[in-house]
Amino acid sequence: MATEDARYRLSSQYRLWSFSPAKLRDLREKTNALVRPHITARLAELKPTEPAPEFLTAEEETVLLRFFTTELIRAAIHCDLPTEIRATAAVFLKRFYVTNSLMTYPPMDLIKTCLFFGGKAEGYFAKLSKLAEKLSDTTEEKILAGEFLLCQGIRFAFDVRHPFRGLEGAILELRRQEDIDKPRIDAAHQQAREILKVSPLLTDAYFHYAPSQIMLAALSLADRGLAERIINSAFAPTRREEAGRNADATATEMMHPTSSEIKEKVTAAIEACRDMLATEPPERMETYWGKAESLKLIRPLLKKLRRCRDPDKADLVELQRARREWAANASKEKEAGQDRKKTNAGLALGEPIGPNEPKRRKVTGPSAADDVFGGALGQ
Amino acid sequence: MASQRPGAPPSPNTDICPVCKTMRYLNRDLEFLINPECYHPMCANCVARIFADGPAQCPYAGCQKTLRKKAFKAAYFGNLAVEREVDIRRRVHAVFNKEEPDFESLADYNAYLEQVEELTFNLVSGNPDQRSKAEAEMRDWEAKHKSEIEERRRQARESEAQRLAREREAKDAARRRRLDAAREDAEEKARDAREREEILDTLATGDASHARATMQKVALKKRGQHRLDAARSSLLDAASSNLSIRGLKKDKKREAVDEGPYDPFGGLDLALQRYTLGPLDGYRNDWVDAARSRSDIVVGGYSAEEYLSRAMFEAFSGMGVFIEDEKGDGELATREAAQAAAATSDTAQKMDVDVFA
Repeated sequence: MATEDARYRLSSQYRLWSFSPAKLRDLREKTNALVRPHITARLAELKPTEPAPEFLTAEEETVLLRFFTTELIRAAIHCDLPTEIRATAAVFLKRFYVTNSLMTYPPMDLIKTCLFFGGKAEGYFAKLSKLAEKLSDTTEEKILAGEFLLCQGIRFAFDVRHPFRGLEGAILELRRQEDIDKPRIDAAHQQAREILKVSPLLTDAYFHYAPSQIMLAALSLADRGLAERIINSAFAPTRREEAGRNADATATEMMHPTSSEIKEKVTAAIEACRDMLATEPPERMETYWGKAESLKLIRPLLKKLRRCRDPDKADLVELQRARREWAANASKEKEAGQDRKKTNAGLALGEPIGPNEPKRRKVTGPSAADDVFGGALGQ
Repeated sequence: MASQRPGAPPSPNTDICPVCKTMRYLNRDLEFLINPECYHPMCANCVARIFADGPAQCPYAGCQKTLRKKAFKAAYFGNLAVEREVDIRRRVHAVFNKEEPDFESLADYNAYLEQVEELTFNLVSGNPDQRSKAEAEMRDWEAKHKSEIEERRRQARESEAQRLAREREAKDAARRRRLDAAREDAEEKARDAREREEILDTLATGDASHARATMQKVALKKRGQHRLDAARSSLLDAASSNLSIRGLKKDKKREAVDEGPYDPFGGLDLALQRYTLGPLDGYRNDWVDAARSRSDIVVGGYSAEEYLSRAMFEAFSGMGVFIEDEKGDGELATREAAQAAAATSDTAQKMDVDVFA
């Protein structure tokens, strides 16, 4: 087992946040399906006269999420946040909305939280007040309200493995080779960086590929020849294998595919990733997103989203406050209950009936609050 | 009797013999006996009356067992179910009398214990089918291992005898030591008295310098003699009592398994396979060059080499990880991928989070 791969398999990105395309689609559809009955019930309670709204489908949510990711990137550029933070924040947003629906939590608020928390995760401590100032219609409270929610949503996996440093490594390796023109490498480097800043974030590349594969795909988009050189150097047949080929083939060789087989698989994976990245080239940020044609697609979806949003969770600040209040009340009630037991011991008719307790907000049950990973989706 | 739990013997308050209905009120010495065949309690009078002429059927309605008078005994435990289990365990233990030193490894011993316990459980609380099977198994084992069982029984008896002998010996030794100590004490006292008298005598008869020399000599002699005595007696003690610690194994059959040196990385091979790091000076770009030369960076402990090796590692790390294969439902490409998938498959199940819903 190549140690490089084994060490990547230990990362939370691999363990928790890597899915096959089918599995990711399943998860998103499950999230979408589970959210619908809940919102329908709540809306029916609040506005009994109106018919149930038309919900976003999982595909529509994916399109919208892509739009919100561009918004996030734009906001990050506006706030002069470094590339890595921008990427981390975008990945956090995408991860969060795998198991949460856009219809449940407001994405525009979570974008800000992601930017702030992405900085924290990368060890870059942006000032909260400055960030709130730079973004329009934002208070510090608003940014912080969704922070714990976001952490739960990303399963506390704060370490995002990016392809940026890997790209530097690959370029350094290429620079050592004497027979490649320096300008060619520089041009490829520049272009690959631009691609990595946008394309993997807008597509699902982070879920489906390892960072080095994404990096090589981007490099191959920039200059296919250079990427192939790197792959060839990584999977040159080792001396041991050469020796093994001369000797008789053993059972262990059956279990471990030879380097040429792996190389083929890696090349195929990188080609697939390259195709994925090619659907969202960095130029599209300027020429498509935010322009008329994308707005034509996005606007009706946004309108739809506004109608089918979860009414309880539209305001994260309010939600946070309610939750804290509930928690405080719960502990107070516990104490009060003990007191009451003491004082009521002599009453013949038991507890006197108190004033009606205000109707509690829906299902903020202790079971959901106690589990650090949140309750099950099906509740 | 109807009010009582099955298995519980007649209690002293409501004592009525279920066979002859005698009460403790009528017979002060009412004593209940059971037979390990069926554990039905009855009073001693009934036993004498029914089984005086040899074996007879149990007088309980519906009990088909044939009982003998000889086998009747008083129950030791209040609960007859416990009594029965203890009897069965005693019987099983007489046949399955291996002990830990008889086995090569702890795992073997545990397997044996489990087998025995399984059998015992079947005997104690299995259905009739299981019980008869367990009986047959036990008979089988006894027939097969007859000589071994006998041998071990003999050994156990011997070791019991040895233990008794050893204990007796230890007690004797302790008594002897006590006597010796008492005698020594008395002797010392006598010696002291004698010496004091001697000194007084010399003081009375001779000159002072002679007396001091005598005193010194006496003191030296006393001290040396004592030490010598103490050493000799301790040596004698060590040699005479054949020192043994109970519970200490005589022969050690189990051997330590060599597991190799401790590996802090849990078997993770850290040798790089995808690339070989060249001489670090060969890697250059603007940033690394700056980091190497600028003193404000170097002084803080920043090492450009660390950065280089990390960047190179990340460039090649995870290239052979195929998420679609490993995380999807399809066939797994390699064995390591299968291991990795097995290790991580359960994490994906708890992905669903909706805190406030």
